[in-house]
Amino acid sequence: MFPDTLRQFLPVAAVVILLVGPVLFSGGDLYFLVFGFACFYAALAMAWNILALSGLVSLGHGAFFGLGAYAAVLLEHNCQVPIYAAVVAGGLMGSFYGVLWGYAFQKLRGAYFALASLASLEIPRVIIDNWDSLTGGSMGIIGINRLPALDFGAWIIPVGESMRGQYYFLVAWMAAVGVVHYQAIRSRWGWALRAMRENEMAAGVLGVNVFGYRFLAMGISAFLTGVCGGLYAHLMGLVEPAMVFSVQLAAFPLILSFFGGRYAVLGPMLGALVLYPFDQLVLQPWLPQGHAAIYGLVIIVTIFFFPKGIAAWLSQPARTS
Amino acid sequence: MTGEVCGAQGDNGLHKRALLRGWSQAGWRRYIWVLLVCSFLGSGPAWGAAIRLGAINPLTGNLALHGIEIHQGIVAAVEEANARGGLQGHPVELLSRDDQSRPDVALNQTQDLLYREKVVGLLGGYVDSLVGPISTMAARHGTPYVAAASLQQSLTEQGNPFFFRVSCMSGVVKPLGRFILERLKPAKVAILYTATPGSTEFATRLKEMLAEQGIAIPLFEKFRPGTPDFSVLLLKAREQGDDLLISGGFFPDNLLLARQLREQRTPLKAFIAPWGVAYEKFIRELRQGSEGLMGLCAWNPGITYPGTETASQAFVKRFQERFGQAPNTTTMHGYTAARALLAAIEQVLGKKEPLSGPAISRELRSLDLLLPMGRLRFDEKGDPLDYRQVIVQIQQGKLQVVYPPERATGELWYPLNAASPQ
Repeated sequence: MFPDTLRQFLPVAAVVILLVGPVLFSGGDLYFLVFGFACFYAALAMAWNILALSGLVSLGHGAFFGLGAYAAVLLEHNCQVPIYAAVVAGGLMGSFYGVLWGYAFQKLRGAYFALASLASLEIPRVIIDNWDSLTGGSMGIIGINRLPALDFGAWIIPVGESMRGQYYFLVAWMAAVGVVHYQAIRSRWGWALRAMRENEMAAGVLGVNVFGYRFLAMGISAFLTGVCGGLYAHLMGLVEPAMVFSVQLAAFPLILSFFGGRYAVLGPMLGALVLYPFDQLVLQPWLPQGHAAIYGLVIIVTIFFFPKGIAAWLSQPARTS
Repeated sequence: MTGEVCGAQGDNGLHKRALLRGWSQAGWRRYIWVLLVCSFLGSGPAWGAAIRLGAINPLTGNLALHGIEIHQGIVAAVEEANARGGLQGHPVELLSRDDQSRPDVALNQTQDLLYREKVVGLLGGYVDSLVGPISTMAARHGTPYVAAASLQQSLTEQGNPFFFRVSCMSGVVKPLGRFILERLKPAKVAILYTATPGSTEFATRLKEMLAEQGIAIPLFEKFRPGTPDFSVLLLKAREQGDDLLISGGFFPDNLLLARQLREQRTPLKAFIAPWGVAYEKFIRELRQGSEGLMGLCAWNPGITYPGTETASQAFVKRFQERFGQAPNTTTMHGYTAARALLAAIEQVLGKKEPLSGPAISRELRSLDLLLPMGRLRFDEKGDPLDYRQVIVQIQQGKLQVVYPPERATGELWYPLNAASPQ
C-alpha cells in the first residue's frame, strides 16, 4: 500500500516524533500527558497481545492489572518497599494469578476461555472489595506516593514531578515492553506461538510444547500487565476496586490491538499511539460527552474494513503499476 | 576574510553597548514601566475575559439521576452570577463533563479540563469513588476543587490544600445516630450499604456508634449499586427480628428495597436511607408504599435553614422557571458548591490578585456564607464546619422533618406499620 521507502521511513519518523514531538507543541503538559498515556496503553496492549498471539483472547486482563496495582500500593504503604521494587512485585503478583489461569484454563479455548477470563476478573475484585482491614475495601487507598525520580548519575528523570519526566519514562517503558513483544513474534518462541495459534494439534505433533509455551506467554503477559497496574496506581495517586478491576480497562488493550493489528510487531503500539491521542486531542474537544463511543465504532470498522489492523498497511508491499 | 568577520562582530558589539548605554537613561525607565504594567495586566484575566470553571458529574450511568441534579444546581449558580454581571466584570464559562459514573472516565475528563481547557476551578462530583480520582488529579495540578457530594473522611485527612466539599460524614452520621438512640431506641438494627467509599464509611461509623450504645447489628452487608434483588437480605432481617433497616444505597436501590419490603411484609419498625428517599420522585414512584419511610436531607423546597427562607423561595422560583421542575437536596449541594467557588474567585479578583490555585484555595478557606442549605465555612482540611442533615419522614405524600426537634415540622410515625403519629 505504501512505497517501500516510505514504509522504511515511517517507523523512524514515528520514533523521532514520539521523542521530540510533544516538546514542539505549545500545549506543553497536555501533549506530554496524552502521548505519555498513549505509550502506557501501548505497553498494556502489547502485554495483552503476547497472550493473544498464542490464540487466546482474554477479557480478564483487568485482574492482573488490578492485582498489580494493589500489590504495589500495599507493599509500598504497609511494608515500606521502594516504589519501583513494589511495582515489580505487583507484576509478580499478576503473573502468580496468570500461572493459576494457566493451570486452571489449560483445556479452554475460544469463547470458553474468553468467558472464563472475564469471570475470573471478579474473584480478586470481590476479595479486595471485602478485605477492608488490608485493602481498605470499597474505600480504596488514596494519597499514594508519586513515582520517584530515576537517577542515572548525571541524568535524572523526575518521573513523578513533571509531565515531561513522566512522558519519557512511559516512552521507555513502552520500548521495553516492545522488545518483549518483538520477541514474542520474531523469536523461536514467537514462531511456536504462531504455530499454536494456526493449528495447535499440528504444532504439538511437530514437537512444540504447547502447554509450556502458552504457560510462558500467560506468565509474561500477566507480569507486564501487573507492572502496568502498579505504575497506573502511582501515576494516578489512588486505587479503588472499581477503578482498576474495570471491564472497560480490561477491554481497552483488546481494542487497541485489534485496531493496530494483532499479529504485527508494531500493531498494538500503533493502535494506541494513533487512537488514544486522536480520541483525546481531536474527538474530545469536538464531542466532550460522547467521544469514547469512538472505541466501539473503531472495533466495528476494523472488523469490517481492515481486519488485520492499520499496521497491515505498513507491511503490505507496494503495488507496481 | 576572518578579520572582516571579527571586525564586523566587534562593530556589532560596540553598537550593542552603545544601545545599552543609551537605554540606561530614559529607555530603561520606560522599559521597567512597561514591564510593571504588563505584569499587572498579566496578574489576572484580561478585562471582560471569561473565567472558565469545570464541572464533572455522572450525567449518564447508574448515578445519572443525582449527577444531573448536581449539574443543574451548578448551572443555576453560574447563571445567577452571570445575570448579575459576572465576577468583577468577568463572565463565568462553565465547561461540563460527564464521567459516566465511572472513575476512569472521571480521571480522563479531569485531565481534559485541567490541561486542555485550563479551567481555574473544578466543581461537582457524586459519590467518593468518583470524587476521589478528581480530587487527587486536581491536587497534583494545583487547581481548587469544590465537591458537591463527598463524605469519605480520608479525602480531606490526607492534607490536600486544593480540595473542599460542602458535605461531610459527621453531618450525616451524627444526626442519624442521635435520632436512632434518642427516638427509635431499637434493640437490633440491620445495615445494608453499597460498595462505594462514602457508603462503606457511613455504614462502618454508624455501626460503631450504635454498637457503643449496646445496640446489636446482626445484619451488616455490602451490595453493589444496582443490585437487582434484595429479597434474601430482607429475609435475613426478618429471621433475625431486626427492628430497623438502614440502607446506604442510592435512589434505585432504595426504590427496589422499599418495594420488596412492602411485598414481603417485612415486620420492620422503621426504614431509613440517607440517600435517595427524601425526594419527590421517590414519593411519586412508590405512592402509598412510601408512607412512613425515612430519609435524610440538608435542604428541600419546604425545608430550609432558619433565616434563609426568602433566598430559598427565590432559588426555587428561579430554578423552576429555568428547568421546569422543583430542585431538591442534591441540586442544592451542587448550587452550594458552585456558590462557594464563585465567591472565592470573586474575592481573589477583588484583591486584584492572579487567579491561581493557592489564592482561590486561601479565599475558600476564609469564606463565611449564609446559603439556603446552611452556613458555609470550611475548616483547614476543606470540610464544612456547619453541615448538618435533618431526618425526614414521608407522611401523606410530603416530607416532614422529624429530627432534630428544633427543626421538626411533623410528629414521628413509629413504628412503620402504624403509619400514624407516635
